[in-house]
Amino acid sequence: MRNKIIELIYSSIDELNAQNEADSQLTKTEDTVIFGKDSNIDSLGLVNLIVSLEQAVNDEFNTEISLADERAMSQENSPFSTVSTLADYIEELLKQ
Amino acid sequence: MTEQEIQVLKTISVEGKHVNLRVASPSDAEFILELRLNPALNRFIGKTDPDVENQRNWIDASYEKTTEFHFIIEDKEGIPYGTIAIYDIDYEKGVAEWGRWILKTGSPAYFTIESNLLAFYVAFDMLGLKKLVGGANNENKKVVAFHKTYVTVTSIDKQHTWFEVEDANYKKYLKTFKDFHNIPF
Repeated sequence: MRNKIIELIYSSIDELNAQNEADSQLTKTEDTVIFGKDSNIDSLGLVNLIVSLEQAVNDEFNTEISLADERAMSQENSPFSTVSTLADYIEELLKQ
Repeated sequence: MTEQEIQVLKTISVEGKHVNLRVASPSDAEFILELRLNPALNRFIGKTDPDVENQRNWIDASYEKTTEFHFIIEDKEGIPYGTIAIYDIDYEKGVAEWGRWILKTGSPAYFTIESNLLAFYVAFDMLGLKKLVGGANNENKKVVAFHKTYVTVTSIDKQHTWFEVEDANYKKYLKTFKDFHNIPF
């Protein structure tokens, strides 16, 4: 399941990169920082990534999980910190 | 809605969960110019007269119009973060434009969502409008992608993607981001 989730995250990163300038591209690694002071994307980019990913995950796993969670998008130890923590978070939501 | 009722609405701060919208006053001229003259933010907006006095006069004239709400987006402590507007309001047809949406670099993601939702709240729930129309420069890909998640694309020309938002779009948006606002739906 985790590999599929990573694949979906990378696909959403591709979509986001297509919207961003050359100097604001996200690389596709599990350590890539998505959210926080070292992130390469702005708030609108983050919203677009999360909305696109939520849709992709729900389509793939036939679920109705919500990733657009305000606390998750604002807390210091956000599950959106890196690709890896985001994959863990989605996996946890899918198991609930 | 009477002219007097509309002017009363202009004096009210629309209180959200994390941001408020209040109609801009001439004292906001410096802040608005700071935003609109910032090269990182103004790539896709129209030209701005850099004269502060002219900006004050423009805001004053906008405040007097019953067909326009030019808002300052501020946090709960009153610190300004950006602008958004509903304008060219046709009360008979129930249609208006929305735009002039600019947020300072580094604004939290939930400010982005809630400021847009509060503008829709004013348009649909307070003013009783039926439809908002707007457009984004095609090169402004992030904004186009963002709007496409909940609005209806009506046309795409060489320069712009044109949208419209009706009540169903607004309700969908409220539901998707239910955690980000305190608007009843």
